[in-house]
Amino acid sequence: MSMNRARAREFAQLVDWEHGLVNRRIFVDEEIYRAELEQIFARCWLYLAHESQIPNPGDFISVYMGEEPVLVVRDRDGKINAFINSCPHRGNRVCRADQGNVTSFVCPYHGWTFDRQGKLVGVPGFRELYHGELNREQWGLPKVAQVASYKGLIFGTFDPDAPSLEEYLGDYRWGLDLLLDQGDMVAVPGIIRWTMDANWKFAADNAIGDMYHGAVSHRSAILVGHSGGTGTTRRGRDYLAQGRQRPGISMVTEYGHGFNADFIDDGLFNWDSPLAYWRKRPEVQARLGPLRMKVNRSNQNIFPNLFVNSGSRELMLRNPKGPTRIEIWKTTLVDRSAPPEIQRMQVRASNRHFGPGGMFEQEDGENWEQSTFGARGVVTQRYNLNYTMGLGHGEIVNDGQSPPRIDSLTNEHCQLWFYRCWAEYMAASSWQELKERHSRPEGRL
Amino acid sequence: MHTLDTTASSRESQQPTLNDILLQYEIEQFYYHEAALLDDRRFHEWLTLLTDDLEYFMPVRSTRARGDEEHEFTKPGEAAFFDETKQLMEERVRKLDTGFSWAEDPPSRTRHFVSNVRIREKLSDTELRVTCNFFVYRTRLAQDEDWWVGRREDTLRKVDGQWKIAKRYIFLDQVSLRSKNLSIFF
Repeated sequence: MSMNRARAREFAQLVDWEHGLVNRRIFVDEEIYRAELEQIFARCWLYLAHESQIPNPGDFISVYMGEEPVLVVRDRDGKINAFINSCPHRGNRVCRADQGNVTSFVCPYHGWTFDRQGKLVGVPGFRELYHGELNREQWGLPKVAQVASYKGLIFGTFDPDAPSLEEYLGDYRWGLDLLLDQGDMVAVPGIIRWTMDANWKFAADNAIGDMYHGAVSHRSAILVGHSGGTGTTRRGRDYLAQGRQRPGISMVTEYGHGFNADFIDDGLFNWDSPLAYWRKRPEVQARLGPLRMKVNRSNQNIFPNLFVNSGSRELMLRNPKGPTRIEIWKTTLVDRSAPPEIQRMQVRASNRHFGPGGMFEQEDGENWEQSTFGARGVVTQRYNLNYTMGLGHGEIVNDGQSPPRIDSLTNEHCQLWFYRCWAEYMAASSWQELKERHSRPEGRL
Repeated sequence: MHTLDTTASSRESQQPTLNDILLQYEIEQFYYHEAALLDDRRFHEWLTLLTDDLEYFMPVRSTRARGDEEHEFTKPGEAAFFDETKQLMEERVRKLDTGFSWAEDPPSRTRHFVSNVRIREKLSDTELRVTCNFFVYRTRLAQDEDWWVGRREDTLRKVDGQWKIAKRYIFLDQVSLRSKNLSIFF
């Protein structure tokens, strides 16, 4: 085992999930961050893009997997390819546009040319300068090992030994479908991107299950009538009842995913809102079933760094840019089967809710920066962060209505699960080891 | 109001009339007044400068290859940083008044600079299309610093002798914002 792996196991011990404690070092330490890039971002399935963003042959989109720049390209036969956007000759990005349509990529430095599968198809001076000896087969753009889609969402992993995407997402798909089964969900043009001085895990921790912060962090937005971003809530002052448990569920699944979902409150839900249309469609009701039809909205995190929000229909990728910096990429989904005026309302609801100017998200950025700042001091680091809410009370219910779930909305089970799985990735030396030994939701959390 | 006697293109090639100069002065003064209201945090007064049918939109930008510039900015109905009506802007101002608007409490300190003001077109007897450049600086807490540079495209309307903003499109020069939020106004 390499030195790095041994250190990574040591880092894993900074999470004491049995007691709900997390050492602050994991949020600021440069060495831990380098290990995360190796053990998590070079290993997990990561969200790349939505299929609707590259509908035609030759369409491409430029994204990141961890810190690696990646091109996602649709080939002539419709197949989606993904490879690292870095010329094998001198490392330059062969494509500097964010999106577009191409027949090939020409590196602006020396002109090496790659096709839509990333294969090296042109080398200036191949005969005269390289004497025809360069093995072009070998010098294509480095491929993303596996690429697959789930209901329009394209994912990739750099690890050829990773389980299939289906297996990786596993039971969590039941939660993801809360968004993807609402209709014919496609991405609207435009990816909202912004940056902040925060560790990526604080953003994930907020996404996967922080139902505690809303009544405080987002109090101002709720007070003026903006609650939850669904567009189907009447005056949402009830959400201000801080410290009260509301009806809902939480779910954690293998490999680190999870979500929480509150149930519709009949006193607050506005069935007359045009945005409630999809709930009245029999095919949607059939797809989702009675338990999920009770869900008002859900906050989810696909391990490691994709926030999914079924309420205002968005995917928010939090790309790491160093231990204390992230760049958020927000993609907004809309139901293509809804009437145009409703699609417009859906987009506006999302534009207003999340994003740097969002009525809710304005406050989140500063919170995660503050949490990150609060992890810097060596003395401060002696004091673990507290994730004990509900600890020992999270009974896993397995009644056939859903994959194993917890019948409680506000708790820290999902967040602790995220760190528990984080520690497993950090400690494991391979996917083989992870497949054999990883946490499953059982008993009581 | 002063009358615009020529179209935008001919205005630029011809000698300006006295009316043109007076109008230019009036519009610039309007923008300086607006900037002062924002920087002095007099947001309720600022709201009175917005018409009831306001369209306030800040599109998202992406880097595109030459020849693909038409896709550089998003349009209404697509992703946007701001996608607001007058009512929604009022909500944003009320949010600041709650005492719990943490991103602005303690409040940011802003400085709005407006330049390159150009009256581009007379849309009707009471409406002008005006473009300008802006530089907005924000500092917050002890050391937080942000700045945004871009272009605004406004429809200004004269209502009861007073200029108001009926439409404002804000085009940022940045693709990926180097700031944690947009809790201020442009």
